[in-house]
Amino acid sequence: MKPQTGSLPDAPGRDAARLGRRDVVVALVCGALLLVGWEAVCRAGFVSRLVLPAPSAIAVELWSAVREIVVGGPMRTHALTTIYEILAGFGLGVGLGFVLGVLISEIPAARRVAMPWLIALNAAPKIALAPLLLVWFGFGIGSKIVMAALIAFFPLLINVVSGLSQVEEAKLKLMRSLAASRTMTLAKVKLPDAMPAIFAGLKTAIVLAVVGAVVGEFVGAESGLGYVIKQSEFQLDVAQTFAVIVLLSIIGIAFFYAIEFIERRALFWTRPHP
Amino acid sequence: MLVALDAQAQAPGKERAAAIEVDSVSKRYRLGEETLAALEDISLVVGEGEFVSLIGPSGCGKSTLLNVVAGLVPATLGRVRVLGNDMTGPSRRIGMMFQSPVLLPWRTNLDNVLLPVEVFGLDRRKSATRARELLQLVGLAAFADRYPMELSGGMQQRVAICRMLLCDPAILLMDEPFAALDEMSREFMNVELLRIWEALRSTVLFVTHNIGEAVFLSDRVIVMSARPGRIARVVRVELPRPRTKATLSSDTFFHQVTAVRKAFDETADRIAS
Repeated sequence: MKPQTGSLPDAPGRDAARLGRRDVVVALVCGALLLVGWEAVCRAGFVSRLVLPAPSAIAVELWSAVREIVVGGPMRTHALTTIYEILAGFGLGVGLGFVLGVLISEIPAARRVAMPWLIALNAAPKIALAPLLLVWFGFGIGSKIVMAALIAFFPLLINVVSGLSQVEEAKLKLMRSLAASRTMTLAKVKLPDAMPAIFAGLKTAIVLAVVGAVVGEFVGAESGLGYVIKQSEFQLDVAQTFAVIVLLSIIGIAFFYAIEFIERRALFWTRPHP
Repeated sequence: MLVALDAQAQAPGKERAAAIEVDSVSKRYRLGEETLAALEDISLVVGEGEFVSLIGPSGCGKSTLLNVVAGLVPATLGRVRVLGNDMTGPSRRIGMMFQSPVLLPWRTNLDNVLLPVEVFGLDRRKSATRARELLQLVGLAAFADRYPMELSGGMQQRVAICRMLLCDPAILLMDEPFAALDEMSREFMNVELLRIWEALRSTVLFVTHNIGEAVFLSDRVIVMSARPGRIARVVRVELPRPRTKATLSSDTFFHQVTAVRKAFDETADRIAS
């Protein structure tokens, strides 16, 4: 039997998950209708522009923000600050989560000691620590990085632990039959097998890292997009608030899809094969 | 008589040196208050270069026995010697195969065959030639750089055969390797396995629940009974080698299968009564 190389229809499960061209058109039309309705409500004067600015006003603010980012200006500094905080926090949280996850999975004693504490910490509202972090790590980017790291840490840790614990028994038996060492089994079988779970954790972690960085900036900062939101709030410039929220969403989505792109490339074997 | 039963069949015969010696092995599992006897006082000897099958109803402990011989599961009582050494754990001189191919989907077929070399810390490049030869031997040379998911179940098991054979193990332990295949593929794999084995003549202990398969492949068939797992009968298969596809339709083969089936049914009756 030769492997099929021609273009064949995908498996049904994948078909259902993928958006068809018609779905995209319907979604875009719905979105456009919503914006038109929103604009109409604002123009008719039903709501104050201090409560809900019109989409056109938000678009103008967004355009000037994007322009500033491209040609250079305060908004570029703010955006770069927040992006730096997100990435540094993500890297720190995910790195620690990975190392600790592997240790907890591989060393039973570590699991017994650390797991109750980690479960308790995970249940604690980490956002509530933000004022404390400000005191400990200052008004600079340090406290934001730690905040982002703190909430990006847990989803990765948990997914590493569950991914490593769900490795197929037959594969482990194969490695045992080869008298493989634990590190060998971890490197050759367990980690690659846990990769889909780890990537799911990475995607959750990057979204939470954005939240962490912005919350950190809310509590007290001198720069960053969260700082801009608070400033525009003080100045009753609600349109700018909305514009920055859109900007933050774009940043979050971009990072999310960057990870998904890497996942699709790296974990080629998890794709259903025609 | 076509089938030599028991007394003569117990020994490997033809003055073979012992490759696997199982001496009064029992295996018990604790299930809460009760103990479950999976294996009860099993003794058997497999000679060097001999092909022996373990057959029996499900739950008779044939897979457990194989795992004990492999050093994957410790015996509760008794001892196992492989190539003259007491078994304390898995050995590199043993090659194993399981009911599923257990290929790693992120590795190409060639890299899957080379897994033991990496685990043993041997030179990968030197073994790559041997791995390609083996894939050639099972007719999968063209698929060396493809991935397992591009192969059918039978082809995947052939890759698993190559992986098992790569480091030239003296002993092969196979745990129902073809049970998941359809009848046609299984028959094809049986013929293939014998063709490869004729060239190597390694010692094989083969677990199956298929009487035809056991007879076609083996020098001796060990029939086990369940609860507790015991050796009920040992049947020597008097079929000339090399055996081919033609053997499967010969009268002799048919008679041998009938003989083993009788031994099998007698055991089943004894359990029922």
